[in-house]
Amino acid sequence: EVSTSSFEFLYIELVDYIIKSSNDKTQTFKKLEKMGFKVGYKMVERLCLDLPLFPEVLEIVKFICRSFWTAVFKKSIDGLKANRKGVFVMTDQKFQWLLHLSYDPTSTNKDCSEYVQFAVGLIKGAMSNFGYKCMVTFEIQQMHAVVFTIKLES
Amino acid sequence: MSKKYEKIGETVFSKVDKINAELFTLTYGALVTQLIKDYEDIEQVNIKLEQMGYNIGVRLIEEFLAKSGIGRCNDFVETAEVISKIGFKMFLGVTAQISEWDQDKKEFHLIIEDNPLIDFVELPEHLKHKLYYSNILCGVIRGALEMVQMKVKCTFVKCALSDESSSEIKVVLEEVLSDLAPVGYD
Repeated sequence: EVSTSSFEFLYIELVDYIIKSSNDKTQTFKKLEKMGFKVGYKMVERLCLDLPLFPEVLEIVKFICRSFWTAVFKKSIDGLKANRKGVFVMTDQKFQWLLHLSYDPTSTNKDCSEYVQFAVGLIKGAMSNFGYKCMVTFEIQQMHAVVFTIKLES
Repeated sequence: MSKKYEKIGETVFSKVDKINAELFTLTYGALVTQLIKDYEDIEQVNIKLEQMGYNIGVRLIEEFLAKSGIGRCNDFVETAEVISKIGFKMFLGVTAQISEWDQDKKEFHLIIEDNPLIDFVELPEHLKHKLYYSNILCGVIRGALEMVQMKVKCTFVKCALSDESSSEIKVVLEEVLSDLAPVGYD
């Protein structure tokens, strides 16, 4: 284990670098997601070493909500809703990577979505390791709550 | 003397919030990969990593001082002990060894045997002895020490990823900055 602050210091530098080295927001998001994807993909590999196969996609999403989320954020997802058409809505009421950001009302960039985009990659990478391709979108709600929507691609 | 610091390091580490080291290692790996993609010249990657480390060090020192309760060091020898036994332990969960002091006690080597940044990492042949994969650490040390009035230069002299026995950083004290308030400041 390493200290959480080491990771957060690194994470802030990483996001900052990606923002500065990209031409626009789309590219920033793409890069962050790609990096997250690699990390998520590899983390699942190690987390699942001793686990039996999951027969159903719901089991996989539950695994991401609990074990995977805990490995990354030390807490599980607070709420999961699923419909039968392959859409899963996960709510994290206290998204760790937004907790220590301060809000600057004078800034032109009032949106912290760059700090969440890496997690989109994490989810996609994790799902991909299980053999599922999906679209992931998110919405930041008051303060630190983030709602992720996973849509399976058929 | 170093036993005392080891103990403090362990106590502090037991108190801080901790996180899965794999997440940290893999994320760092993703960052380095991205930098290699962005810069053609590997030397630029080393420089960029050092700069990012510097930015981190400048911020990290505050947390270090607050949580470790360590006050001003008497000399550079003590500083070295504090970095290797408390600083490394508190943030990375490992300690480093110190060796090769020069006569004036202004220069030492930090030997990191158990560097969490390089777990599961292998460098392709063409990057060996060129890329200092963990160069961010040099920046962190430089940034943190600058905030406590010490100007140092840190360089990797050995890297475990380039087939050497361990990772070794040379730290040279260049100047102790005056902490007197500037003229006209009160």
